[in-house]
Amino acid sequence: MKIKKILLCVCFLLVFSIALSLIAMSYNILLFNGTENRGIKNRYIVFQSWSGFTQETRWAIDYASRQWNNRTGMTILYHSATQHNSNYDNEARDYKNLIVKVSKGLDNAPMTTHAWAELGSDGYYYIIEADIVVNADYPWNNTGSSTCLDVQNCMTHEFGHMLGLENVDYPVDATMYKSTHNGDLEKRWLKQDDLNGFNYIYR
Amino acid sequence: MKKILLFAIAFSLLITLYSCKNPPNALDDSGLAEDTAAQQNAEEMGQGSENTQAGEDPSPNKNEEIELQTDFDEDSDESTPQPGDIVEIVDSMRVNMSVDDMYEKSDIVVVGEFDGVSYTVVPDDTKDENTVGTLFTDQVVSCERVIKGDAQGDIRVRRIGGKTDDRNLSSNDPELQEGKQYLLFLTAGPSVVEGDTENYKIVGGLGIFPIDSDGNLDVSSQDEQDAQRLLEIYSQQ
Repeated sequence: MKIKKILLCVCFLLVFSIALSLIAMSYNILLFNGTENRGIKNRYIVFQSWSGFTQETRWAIDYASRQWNNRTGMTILYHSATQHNSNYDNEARDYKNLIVKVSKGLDNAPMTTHAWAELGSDGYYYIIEADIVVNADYPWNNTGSSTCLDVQNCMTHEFGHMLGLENVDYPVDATMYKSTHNGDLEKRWLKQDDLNGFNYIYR
Repeated sequence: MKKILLFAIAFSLLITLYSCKNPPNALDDSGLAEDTAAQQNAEEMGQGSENTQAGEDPSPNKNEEIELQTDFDEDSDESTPQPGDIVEIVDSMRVNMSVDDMYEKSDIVVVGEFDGVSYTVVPDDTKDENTVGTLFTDQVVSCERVIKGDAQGDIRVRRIGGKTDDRNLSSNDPELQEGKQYLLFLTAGPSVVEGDTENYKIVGGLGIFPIDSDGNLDVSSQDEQDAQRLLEIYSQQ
C-alpha cells in the first residue's frame, strides 16, 4: 500500500512539473528558414522613426522600446534622435532600421515587421536589419480609445519581433499574443512569458 | 519513504526551474558587460547616422567567419544554407475578428482541399505599389463547395513569402497542408502581375479552419458563439 502511495505521489509530481514546464515554455522564437534565431547580431539595434509622426506617437514608440530595455535589464533598442523622411516601404534591405507609416489598405495587417537575418557559423540565424510598417489605413491613437488601435501597444509587440520573438497563442495577455483589438493596452507591458522568450534568446 | 519523496520533489523542482530558462531579473555580469559595450558602440556610431546598421559586425572574429565560409564553399551544395546566407521574414499582427465580420468581409467562402501545388509569384513593381519587393506564394486549392460568392474549380490562395534565386522570404501568413481540407474565408488578392486574376487571400490571416478526415470542422480555437456560427456556415449548402 505504502509503495503504491509513493508511486502515486511521484507520478503526480512529475505530471505537475511537466504541466508547469509546458506553461513556462509557451513563448515562440522566430524561425528563419526553419531555424531558430539567436537575436540581434550586435546585441543592439538603432532604429529611426518617420519624421511625419506626431510627438505623441514618437513618445509612444519610445515608451515601447524602453519597456523592453527596462524590463529585460539590457539596453538593446536605441531610438535614434534623427528621423527619416521615407513615407513608403520598399521592402528592400537598405541597412537602416526604419519605422514607416504607409497606406496598405484594410485588407492588410495593421502593423508588420520585416526582418533580415544572417546565418552564423554556429548554425543559428542572427538578425541584421528590421523595419516596422504601420498601416496608415487603420485608426490609430495613443490613448487606448476603444475605437482605435493603440500605437504603443502594437509597437511593443512589433519590437518583440525585431528582437527575435514569434507570436504566441497563449497566454492571451502576453505582449507577443498573436492578435489585438481596438482599445487593447495589454501588450504595452511585458509579461513573464515574453521575458522568458527574451532570456532564451539573449542569456 | 521520506527520502524517495524528497528526491521526487527535488527532481520536479529541477525540471520546472530548467524549463523557465533563467529568471528575467537574474542579469549576469556578462549581460551587463554586453549592455555597456553596446551603449558605447551606439554612442561611437552616432545615433541616427546614415550608416546605422544592426548587421555590421565590429567584432574581430569577422575574418574567422569569412574563412569558415570559404571552407564550406569548397564542397558546397547550393540548397544547403551556408554561413553568411541572408533570409527574410515578414510577421504581421492580426486584428481580432468575429466569424460574422469574417463572413461579411469575404468575397468568397469555400470548402476546399490543398493538393500540394504551390509556386512563388514575383510582383511586377509597376502593378501595385503596396507589393513592391514582396514575394508571394500561390497555393492551389480545389473548391469542393462554395458557401458564399462565385468560384469554380481551382483557385489560388496567396500568402506572403516565397523563394527565388537570391531571396528566401517567409511569413506568419497561414500555410496550407497538402491533402488537407479547409473552410476558407477569402477576399480577392492584389493583382501583382499581368493577367493576375482569381487569386485570393485569407481574411485577416484568420479565416482558415481545418476539417478532419471525417468531415468535422475544427472550431476549437473559437469561443462558443463563434464556434456555433462557424458550424452554421459550414452546414450551408
